[in-house]
Amino acid sequence: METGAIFGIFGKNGSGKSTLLKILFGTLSADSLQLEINNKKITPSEVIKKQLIAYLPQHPFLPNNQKVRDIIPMYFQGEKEQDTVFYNPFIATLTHKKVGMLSHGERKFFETILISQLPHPFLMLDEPFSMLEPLQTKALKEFLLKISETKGIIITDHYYTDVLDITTKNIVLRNGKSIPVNSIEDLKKNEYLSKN
Amino acid sequence: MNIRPYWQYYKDIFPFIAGFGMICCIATSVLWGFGLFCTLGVLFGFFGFQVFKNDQHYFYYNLGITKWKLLKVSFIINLLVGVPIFSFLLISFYFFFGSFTIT
Repeated sequence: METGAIFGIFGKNGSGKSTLLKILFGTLSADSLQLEINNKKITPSEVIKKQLIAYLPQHPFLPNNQKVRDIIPMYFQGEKEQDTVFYNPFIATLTHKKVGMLSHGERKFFETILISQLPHPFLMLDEPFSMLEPLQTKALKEFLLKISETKGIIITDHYYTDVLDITTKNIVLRNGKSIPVNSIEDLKKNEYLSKN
Repeated sequence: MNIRPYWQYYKDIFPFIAGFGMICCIATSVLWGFGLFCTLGVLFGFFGFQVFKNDQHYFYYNLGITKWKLLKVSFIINLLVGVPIFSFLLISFYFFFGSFTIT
C-alpha cells in the first residue's frame, strides 16, 4: 500500500474481499501475512493502535441511538474537522436525525465521509457506493479523488464502473488468487462479469 | 484523551452490567451483587456488546481504540459513575419491592 493511489478489489461474493480487508485491518488473523505500509513492515496488531488505516466495514457500525450531530464530535475534536463533515451538502440536512433513522444510502455516505476525514494515512472502503443515489455517488467519487492526493485508498464494490472510474490499480480475486485487471474486458475474461 | 467515545461505549454496555448486577443481587445478596457489579459486571457488559453489537466495534477501532482499552476505561468509568447509578437503582428497587429479594 502506498499513499496517493486508489486500489480496486473485485471478486464474486464469497471470494474473500471483505475477509482480506479485515485481515489487513487486523481484526481477522491469517495463516501468514506480510504487511508493508509505505515500504515499512507493520504487524497487523499495530494497524488499529497506531491509527494507520481507517476502515469502512460492509455492515453499519455507527451507534443507532445517536444523532448525526452527536457522532461527529466523537470523531473530531477540532472545529475545522467537525465543520468539514457538518457542512457537507449531503450531511447538513441529516444532522438532527438519529443514525438508526437514516436510509441505507444516507448512512453509508455519512459513514464514508466520517472515516475519510480521519487523519489516518490509509483508507479501506468496503462497498462505499452501496445504495447511494447518483448525486451522492458523483460527489463521493470526486471527494475520494481529492483525498487520494494525501491518502492511499483501497476500495471494493460491485459497482465496478464507479470503482474503475477512480482507481489507479485493480485486481480481481478468483480462486484465492489475485489477478491484475485494467478494464471491463479483463473483468469479463476473469469471469467476474458475463462475456455477453 | 477524547472521553466521548468511551462514554458512548459505557452507555451501550451499562444495561448489560446493571441487569447482571440486579440478577446477582436477587440470586445472592445485595453485598455480593454489588461486588459482582463492580468487578465482573463490566466483563459481562463487554461480552453482551460482543454478542449483540459486534459490528459497532469498528466505530472504536477507527479511533485507535482496541477492545482491551475499551474494557480498561469502562472498568474505571463503572467505578466512578456506574456504582452511584447502580446504588440508586438498588435503593429504588428496595422502595418498590420492600426488600432486595423476590419470593
